[in-house]
Amino acid sequence: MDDATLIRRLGALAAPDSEGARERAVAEIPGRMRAARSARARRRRQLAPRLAAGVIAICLVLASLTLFTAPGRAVSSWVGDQLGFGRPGEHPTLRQIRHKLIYAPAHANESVGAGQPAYVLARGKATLGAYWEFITFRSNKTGAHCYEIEVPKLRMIVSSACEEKESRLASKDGLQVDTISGNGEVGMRFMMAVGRISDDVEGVRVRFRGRPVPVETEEPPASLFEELGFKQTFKVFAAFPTGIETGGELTIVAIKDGAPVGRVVRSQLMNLRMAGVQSCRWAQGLAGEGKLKEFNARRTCRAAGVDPETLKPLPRR
Amino acid sequence: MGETGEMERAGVPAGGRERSDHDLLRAARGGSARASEELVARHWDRAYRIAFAILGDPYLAEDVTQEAMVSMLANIGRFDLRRPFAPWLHRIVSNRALDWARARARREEIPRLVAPPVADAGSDPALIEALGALAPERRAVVVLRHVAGYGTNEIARMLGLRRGTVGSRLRRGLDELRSELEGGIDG
Repeated sequence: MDDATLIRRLGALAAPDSEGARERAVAEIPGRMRAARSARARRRRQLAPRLAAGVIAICLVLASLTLFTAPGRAVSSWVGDQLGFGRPGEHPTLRQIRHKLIYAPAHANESVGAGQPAYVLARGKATLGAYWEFITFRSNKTGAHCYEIEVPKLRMIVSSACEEKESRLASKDGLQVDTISGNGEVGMRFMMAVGRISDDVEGVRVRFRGRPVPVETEEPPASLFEELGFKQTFKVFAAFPTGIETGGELTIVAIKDGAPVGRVVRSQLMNLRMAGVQSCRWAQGLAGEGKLKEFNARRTCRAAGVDPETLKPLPRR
Repeated sequence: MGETGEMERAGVPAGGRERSDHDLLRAARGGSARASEELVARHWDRAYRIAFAILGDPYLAEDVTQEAMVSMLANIGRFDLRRPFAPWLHRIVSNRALDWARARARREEIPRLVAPPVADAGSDPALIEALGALAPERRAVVVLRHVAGYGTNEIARMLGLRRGTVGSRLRRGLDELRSELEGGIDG
């Protein structure tokens, strides 16, 4: 058989009962379309909750990794740096969190920072490879300048307060200590002293149990003071005493013309070992409330030598 | 009245001018059940013939063609109205038929496609049996070229093949087909 014959036979090939099949198709296809549509809708309905659950689970994992792991914090800090957050004159790294958490003493249980733009006045190195940010914003209640000290890497707001006087340092000797506080959690244990000094003060000396503590002094950009309506310019200092587990006396002295002009002494410092013991009760109170908080509190309690279950001292190894 | 109805059913409006495929497609996209019905009726014969030539089974071919029509109507919004409609539909039909033929070959339900009873075997039972002896991929190429009348380039686009592959499958397919026919009942 030659090609032409074969091709002619192929071209003449007819399917049986094409007309009957067509009529059946015209009659049946609308029903098949409806069935296909409802099957698709059913699949979509079944898929939607699973998809939503999957997305939520992924978001939770990512949020946990970002907030609670060292690499996550490093990444978020790096991203914040790249975006300009955290530098003097820019917005703070913890912008989102702060607005929900600020409770200034004058306005207990009210967020005075909500909806207010915040700026970093100064920034420096903290312990644990972190850095601190000295933040300012205006109260949404009184319009006064408020301050906040944050350690973004630890997702921590160390202190916050609003000025009672109009944008001036409260003390006349040019030294104002804004916070002496710390954190007792295992792995995140630190103490910091942060404050402000007037421009005519040369510097600050800090001693803990008689030993000198390095002090970092940062000068906020002058244009920022003007822009934010401050009536007095100042410098920000920060010191991180070490060996803090059992408390001690902390002395902060402002120096002007080589002589001390202001002094703040704190002898009732937080004893971090005691704080660790206190976290044992805290751990029990947290049972079932938050796994991570509970885990940290129990770990801190054990590190303080106490069994978080029985509240009795752990056997010495 | 009855005559007008018949004409409308055939895609000819009362005014006399037959609506083009693209007019029907636009109307079907807008939700017109009548337009969808007309598209199916207008393109059924060729689509069914392609499916039958690839599958060799009229019942299966009818089912596959119906499935392809449902798929076409479900995806009508994605069709590019600047392109001709028939090749798009035939691409859906031939690929579905090919999937079926491959699945049957894999499952070895029937080692070689057996010709259906004479009454259901169309106009050329021997040719259907010989086509059934070809590998599904070659069979599809031969059918699209010589039953449906598409060119090599169009077949390459439809089946996602290179032009050279289509040419070689076509050549070998025709050779095998001739050999089957000459060695079979027709020979």
